[in-house]
Amino acid sequence: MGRLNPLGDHGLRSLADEELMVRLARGDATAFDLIYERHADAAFSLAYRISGSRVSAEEVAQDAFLAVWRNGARYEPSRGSVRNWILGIVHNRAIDALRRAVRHESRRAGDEGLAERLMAPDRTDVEAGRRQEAGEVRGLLADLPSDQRRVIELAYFAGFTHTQIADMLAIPVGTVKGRMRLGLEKLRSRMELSGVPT
Amino acid sequence: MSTLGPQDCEKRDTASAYLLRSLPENELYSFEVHLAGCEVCQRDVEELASAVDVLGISVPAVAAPPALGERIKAIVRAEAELLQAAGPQADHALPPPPPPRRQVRDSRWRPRQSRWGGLRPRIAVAATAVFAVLVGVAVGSSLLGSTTPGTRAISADILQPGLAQNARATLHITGESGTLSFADFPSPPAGRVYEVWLEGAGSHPRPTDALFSVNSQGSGTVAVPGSLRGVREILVTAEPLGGSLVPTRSPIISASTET
Repeated sequence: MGRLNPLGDHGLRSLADEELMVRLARGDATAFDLIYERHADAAFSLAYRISGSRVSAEEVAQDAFLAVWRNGARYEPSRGSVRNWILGIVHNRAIDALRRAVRHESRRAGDEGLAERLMAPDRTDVEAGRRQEAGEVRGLLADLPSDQRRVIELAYFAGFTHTQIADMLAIPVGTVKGRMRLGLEKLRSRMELSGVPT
Repeated sequence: MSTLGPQDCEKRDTASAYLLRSLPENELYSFEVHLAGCEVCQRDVEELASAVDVLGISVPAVAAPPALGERIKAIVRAEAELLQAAGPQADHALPPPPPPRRQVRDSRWRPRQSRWGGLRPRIAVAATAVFAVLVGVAVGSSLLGSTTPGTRAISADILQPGLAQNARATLHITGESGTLSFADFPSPPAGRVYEVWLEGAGSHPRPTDALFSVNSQGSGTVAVPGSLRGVREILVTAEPLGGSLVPTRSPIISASTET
């Protein structure tokens, strides 16, 4: 096997995520390192938000990034950004872990306090831009009708099934599904209007 | 009841629940079967996926611990060296899986296994001694209901009762070896294959190279690889073709070796 990084680390840093993924899929550990550095905070943030525990979040993030490394060849740029692909893997792993643990009552962390204590530093302009984008998405989510936002958050962040949500809110399952759909449609529509990448 | 037009489908609301991962396992299975053949739901999944994707970036930022990165990168470097040591063949992914039984007509549709990071153990190519992935199907067995001297037959728990009526699975243990046999068992969903997992006390399920399906009558057998020493549960999940290193679905059956 020949040398994997004729560009050198500096040259690799100038590559887009999609180009790094091509190298990662060939077994280039340096390309993986860069992908990790670019997306580790976002991945850990999501894992923490869902699991509510730093230990669980670390397990989820490690599991997810090793899956990225071992299955990089499965990434297809036509189906979305590398970041969204990674966050999708993190979400799946986190929800799986959550459902295995069945600890819904004890894992909620106060997001605001957490943000103050553990806020990731804005190391680069890119990260500052991502934080701004995250804020915009939170704003769009907050603007949804509360009943629609509620079912989306209970499903996506808390890992409840629609039948569990229906029981919790004392509404029919069909209503839960309908609110999910309406909420996602509105969110997508508002993303387009506000310029958030879709 | 209203008549649905060609641009509508009574399961459209379910597509949103599917994207948010809020479908219970038994409903997930049937919806994926439906999705494979429904262009309306495929379009909804495609269009609404971006709204679900951004939910992941809406959370407050938390810095990943430096030690986590060091740990992950160390594992990756070790595996990269393993790939290099295995030679050029390790640079190639496993052969592409056969096409699913039901082709999706809209190529823009994002299959569940891709969206959820369906796994193919590329590293396994390098570590062939550990993961020699193959499809092991032995159909038409009559093991169910019969035992040989020194063999224990243990009925497996069907964990998704909605999957198929009368589905049965039995674990046969002889010494430290095991075989699973199936009767009236459904085929795995399109694009998936059954995979056997071994779980010890307090440990996560370990993948095996036992990938299998059942025949048209719903019967078949598969040998459980390796020794059952230290194994407490044998699980089966439906995984993307080629198998997974980490389960992507909840188990369909579970058989305790200690029953």
